[in-house]
Parts: sequence; structure tokens; C-alpha cells
Amino acid sequence: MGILVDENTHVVVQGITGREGSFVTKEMLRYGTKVLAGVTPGKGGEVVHGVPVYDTLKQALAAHPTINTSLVYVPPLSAKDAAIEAISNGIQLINIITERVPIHDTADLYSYAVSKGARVVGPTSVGILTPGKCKLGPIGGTNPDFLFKPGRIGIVSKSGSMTSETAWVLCQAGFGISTALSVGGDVIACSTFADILPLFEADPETDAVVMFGEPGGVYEEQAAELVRKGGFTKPLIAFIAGKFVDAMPSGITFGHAGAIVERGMGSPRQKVEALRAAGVRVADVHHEVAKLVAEALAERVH
Amino acid sequence: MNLYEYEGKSLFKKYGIRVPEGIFINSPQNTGNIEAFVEEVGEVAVKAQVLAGKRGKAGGVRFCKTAEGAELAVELLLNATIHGSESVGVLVEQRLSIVGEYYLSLTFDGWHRAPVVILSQQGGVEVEEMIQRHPEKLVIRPIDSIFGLPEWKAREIAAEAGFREERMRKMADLMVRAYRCFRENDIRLLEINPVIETPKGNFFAADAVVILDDDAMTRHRDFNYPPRGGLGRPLTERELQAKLIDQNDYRGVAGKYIELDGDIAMMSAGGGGSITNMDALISYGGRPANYTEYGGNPPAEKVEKLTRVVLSKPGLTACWHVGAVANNTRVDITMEGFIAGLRAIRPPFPIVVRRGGPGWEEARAALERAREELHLDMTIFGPEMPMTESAKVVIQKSEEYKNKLRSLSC
Repeated sequence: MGILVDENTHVVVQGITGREGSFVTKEMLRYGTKVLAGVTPGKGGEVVHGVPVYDTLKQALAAHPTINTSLVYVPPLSAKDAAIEAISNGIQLINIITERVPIHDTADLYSYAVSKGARVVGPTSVGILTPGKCKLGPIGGTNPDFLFKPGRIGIVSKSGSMTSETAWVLCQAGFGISTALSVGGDVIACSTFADILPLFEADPETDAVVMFGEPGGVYEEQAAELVRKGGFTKPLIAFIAGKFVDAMPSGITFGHAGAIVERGMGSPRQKVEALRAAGVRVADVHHEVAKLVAEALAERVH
Repeated sequence: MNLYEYEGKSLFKKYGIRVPEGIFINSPQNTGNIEAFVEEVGEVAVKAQVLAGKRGKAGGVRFCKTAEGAELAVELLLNATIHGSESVGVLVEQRLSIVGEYYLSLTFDGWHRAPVVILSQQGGVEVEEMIQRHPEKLVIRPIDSIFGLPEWKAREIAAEAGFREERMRKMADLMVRAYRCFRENDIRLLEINPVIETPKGNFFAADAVVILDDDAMTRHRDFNYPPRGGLGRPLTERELQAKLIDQNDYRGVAGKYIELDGDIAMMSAGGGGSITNMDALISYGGRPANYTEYGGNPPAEKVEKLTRVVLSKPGLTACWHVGAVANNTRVDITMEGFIAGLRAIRPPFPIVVRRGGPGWEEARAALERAREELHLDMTIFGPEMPMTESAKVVIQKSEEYKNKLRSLSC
């Protein structure tokens, strides 16, 4: 099982002919991910690592009607267009790896995704991986088996590199992964912790989830709220990075509207407090998450 | 990028948003037209142009009735430093008569995952105070990003915030103009506090806080704003050097560098990893000399340049080169850049490396060769060492080095 991606995930890569897009396609194929087609406008007819390239997503879908997932690997200013192209063509899961997408563009594509009922993960995601079944995106790099052993712990992280590091810390403690993904750390994340946790809740092969949060925004607080209201009942272990930001000499002394929309939230200290108040186990230093997972699972058995 | 008030206001003018008449002065040499200006408009406000909030309370705004007074205030505020931010000039503006002060801002909100308009009839005070005193008077409404802010919606929002009749219509008009400015210029935050209503019933932007979206700069080639820090202080020499690393080279990112006052140099990879490691170092009692993060598979030259910047700070007692097990950054290539930097600087202090990912075994071998060749005190860890645990090692190494220095100076 796991969530979002599995052996039935049939992928189109938008931006497949780019340096990174083509490299990641090769890695995904090696992992066994079913990459059926690629799209790069103007490069239709080319072949990348055996995968046929089309000019439009519509053409790719006509030739490969089982495609159900898009990996968006286009430059930042094209990400909105690519994602909306995918949503318009009925793709249900869109994973945007592109970083530095302008926030007005993300707001547009998120609004469109909501209106069409499509799920978007990203921007600034490192991908989604269900061990042994599907690797979508660069997650795990060239050697994902080393980091992501099959198992029963879910990972959801704002940070890409810390998705892998968290898997590695768990792996060293003997835990495997059901599904790991990064949702990105942008101000507008098209999938948040509170969007993803219910999927892990419903997954019979996930026993506990580790989340990795960062300063800013309200998504960690929303996760705490979800747990408090009983929307997520499995053990949740969190680490919130960036506590040093509170102690920085100057910080941002400017731009106060953030204070209004976040209403006393957003700082790592406040996130930790909100999560702990909801009963979430929060690690003080990152590598302690493994110990907390072990404790939580042991408690569950008794 | 944060805009200064005078830059924000000139942007507002393009959208038909009224701002007080004013002149911008950026050197003591071009104060010549103050006298004529004061004669024309009467009482003026002289405002230091800084990137810091709470400017008024810190003495950054002076009201003057005469040209002499204004000239004196200009001289005083030209070189002012407010909350660590140096003034880049002063804005001399007509002081308007006020019958009402309101608050308007446009920004993005994680609750709605959309742009929001924030409006209140209780403007002209600090935002924190506004939240405390009149939270019920703040109206926060999401805007459908694709649909934009039509006039009818703006009228509804103004009415909900308590604006009536002509005021409602004027506020709605201002909101629509502000939203167009926000959208067309890729602004992340646009704040007008206060919006001033004059006795004639006109609405003016008396202040302007604008933060542009750095990620959208490439579609605004017409922007011509000089580089600036966002830290409430000017950039240091090393911070400026670091900024140049990413200029005109879009392969990966290696130019994020913030100078701090500690003694352990940070060469850290990955956004999430970097802040996680800063936390770990501080929680174990270490003091970082800087913050940095590089990532996105940068070429070796970029990492070399960053290494040179990071290691050039005086008074270092250790260097911690640390990153998670990388997903797609080729660590053999980035370590090649790090080694080139070490070769140039030859640090006498200890170095602790912890990394993993694509090409790590090659990287480890290259680091071992460099340690031999350059006679470095370098401890090398791969993924077998938990990332945050290696903080303890670098702190211990730094202490040993400090003790050694102390015993040498005795």
C-alpha cells in the first residue's frame, strides 16, 4: 500500500529533455517506476532513455491513456503553465519538483487544482517514494534502496534533503518506510501536512509518521490542530528545524502583515508548543526522531 | 527584495494610487530645492529611507514648518541608522490634513493558500498594537488568484470593514488599484499604513511597504533596484562577495551567506539540513560564525568561491562542512570545490565533514588525499555518523584548538 504512488502509478515527465529531467527519468526507470511518456514543447518525436517525448500532454495521453501522474520538472516561470496543462487534461496527481516558482503562480495553480479536484504536491518537492514500488522524482538520488527500506513508517517533510536524512536515521534504527515525500517549504504548499496525514491515517501499512517542519507559515500548527481534533490518531513524531532563527540578532524587522495572518504562529518555538500540546512527540535534535518512533510504537503495543 | 518607501510610492503612482507630493534627496549636495518645495506645500514630513519598521518611534520622521527646519532635518536623517538599517536618503513630503487613518495590506496567507486583503478602519498604529486593541476590526478576506479582485468584491470587503457610502467606494477603488499593483509586479507584501483620508475626502498612501518576489525577478527586466540586505543592516563585505557567486549562473545555489558573530565556520548543504544543523550546533553549545546553504547541484567553482568566503572570516576555530545524505547533488563535485577552497586558504583550524549521497565514496577518497597533501586536521564522516551528532565532534575539536592557541600564547 503506502500512499499516493505505487505499482499502478503511470508517469509522464513534463520537462523530460532538460538536464535534470532526463537524469531523474533514468533514475526512476532504474528503480522500476513506470515512466510512459515525456513532454517538452517543440521536442516531440525525441526519445529520452527509451521514453517517447511529445509536444503536448494531450498527445502523450492519447498514446498512453493509462498515465495518471505527472512529474513537473520545467523551469520556474513555466511551472504554472505545465501544472495547469496537466490538471486540464485530467491528471489526478501532479508532483512539482521545480523550485523558486513565483508565489502568484503557485496561488493560481493551487486555486485551479482545488476547483478541478486534482492533487498537487509541491512546488519545491523532492518527490514521493513508496519503497520497492515507485520512486517519483529525485527522492533518494541514485541509490534510493540504501536509504528507503520497505517498512511501516511514513515520512512527510517540508525539506527535500531532510526527507532522505530522516529515512536514513530511521533505517539505522531498524525502521523501514511505507511512503516518504516532501511537500516543499513554500508559503503556498499545494499539499500540506494536514492534507497528507489523513492519507497515512487511512493506510493500513503505515504504523507511525515522522514529520519535518520548518519556520514560517501555519502548516505545522494545522497538523497539531488535526491531531487535536482526532483527524490523525496514529503516533506522530515531529522535528521542527530553525529554532536558531528566533535567536538571530536582527531577523526580518519588516513586513508586518505576516504577523496578522499568522496570529502568533509561525516561529519554531510556537510550532513545537502547538504540536506538544496536541500530544505529538517532538524531537529536540533531529537524530532523536528514531528513538521517539521506537518509544511511540512500544507504548502502542502495551 | 524590500523596497524603500520612496520606491514603493513611485510604483503606487503608476496605478493611480495617490501619494503625498514629495521629493527624494540622497545626498547633502542636492538639497537645493527644499526651500521652494516647502514654500509651495507648507508643512512637510521629513522621513528617513530605511528598511526597518517602527521608524517613527525611533525618530526617523520629523515634521517641519519652515525650510530651515526641513534642511536641518534632512541633514540629520541623511546619515541616520534606524534599528540597524542605514538611511539611503530622505523623503520630504507635504504633510496632509487628516480626518481618518486606515490600514490596508495585500499578502499571502497559509490558511487560505491564496492572496488576502487585510483592511481596518483603525490604521496609523503599529500592527501588533492593532491586533491587540481592535482584532475585531480587522477584516481578512481571501482573493481568488485566477479571478482577481473585481470592484464588487472590493466594495463588499470595504463594507464589511465598516466603510460607508463615499468612503466605501473610495476604499474599494484604492483596493482594486493596490491589487493590480500587487499582482502585476509580483509583490509578496504590499502594506499601506496608514491610508490617510483628507478633509476633501481623498485617500492617500502615507507610507509604503513593498516586498517583491525574488523568484519572479526574471520576468521584470525593467526593475532597476540596487542590491540591498534584508537583515536590518547593510551587507558585509563577505555577504556581498557571496551574492556575486550566483549572479549570472543559474546552476544550483551557493550564494546564501549571513555573517554571525560566532567562531565555527558553517559550510552547510541543503535548506532544511542547514537550519537543522544550526540548531544542533547551538543546542550543543557551539557558536556559528555564519549561516550558509548551498544546493541544487551547484558546479565545483561555486562551492569553491563559497568556501573561500566562509573561511576568510577572522577568528575561526573550526569549520563544519555538513549536509544530509544528498538526493541529487553530486557530492563528489561539490567536495571538489570545497577542496579547491581549502587549497587556497589552508586553514590551520580543525575541519569536520559529514556528508553522503551520489558520488560520496569518490568524495571521501578525495578529501582523504587533500588532508594528507595539505596537512589538514580534518575528520571525515559519511552517512554512518548521524548528521546532527557530528555537531558534538566539531565543538570538541574547536575547544581543543582554542586550548592549543591559549597554551601557545602563554
